[in-house]
Amino acid sequence: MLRHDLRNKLASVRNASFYLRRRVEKDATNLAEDPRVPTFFRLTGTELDAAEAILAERIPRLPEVVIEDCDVDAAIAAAIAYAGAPVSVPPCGMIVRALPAELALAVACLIQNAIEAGATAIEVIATRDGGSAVIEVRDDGPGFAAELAPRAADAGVTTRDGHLGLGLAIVKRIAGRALGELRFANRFQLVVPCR
Amino acid sequence: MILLVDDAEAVRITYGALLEDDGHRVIEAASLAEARLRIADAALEIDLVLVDLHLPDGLGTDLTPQVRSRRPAAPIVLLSGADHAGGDVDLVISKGSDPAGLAAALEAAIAQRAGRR
Repeated sequence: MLRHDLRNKLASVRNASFYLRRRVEKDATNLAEDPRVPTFFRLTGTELDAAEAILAERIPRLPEVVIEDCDVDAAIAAAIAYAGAPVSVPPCGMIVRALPAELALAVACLIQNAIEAGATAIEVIATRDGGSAVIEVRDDGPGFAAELAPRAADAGVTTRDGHLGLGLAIVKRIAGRALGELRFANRFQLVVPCR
Repeated sequence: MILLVDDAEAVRITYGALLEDDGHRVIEAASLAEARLRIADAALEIDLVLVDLHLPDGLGTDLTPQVRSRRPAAPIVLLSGADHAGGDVDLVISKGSDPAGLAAALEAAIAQRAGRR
């Protein structure tokens, strides 16, 4: 019902705005004679206030994310230990702003994706791109089809039977919490702001 | 005359204004119960029923049997803020849609209903 109630408010604002615009376009000289004009200006404000109240009441405020300094090499090492696979990782020496456990989880998800795609030689490379660290998993697997990339990080999207399709969604969410992003440039890249 | 059924006053006010501005007479109902009274009132020449899907006392589509029986020439246009598959209505209009298309959509529904009979 949240969508229904919000759409009611927004539809009323849209309709009022359309009515006002049409009145002005038809005859701007007699606007004062139309009682709906001041009514709809008022209604626009009250409906938007009501929409905001609905959001504030029904959508819980999420706890603030506490960002800290995170050693990228340490996070990658933790991810490799978690994944339990032989992974080559040249040290990068970068410090980013992210929760260490979350960054490790994100990298572990990327490594796990490579393993499940059949990769046997896996490398985690972290490079600097401007003010951000770019972490990517390079491997000898089949690669990811570019046409599938736009939706690949949506929760539940997967090309493999029996999989939940959550790995990349987790990576994307963690990237967002660190004020970074998950992007695709031939392979998925976890981009996180450096300290 | 268009019977406009929605429990949200602001929706009735704004849709009513648009419809009257387009030359229609509008009579309102804020619930299924009120709408049923209007439909049963033989003194009202109802040409179209524009009804919200979610009403406090039921669904807008609950009006369909009565409208088909008492006002067979009147198309039923469902105002839906949700994703609704339709059912036995003549047209579904999303509340998120551009009001610029409202008049043409209602005229098309009336013409289509007249063509069926």
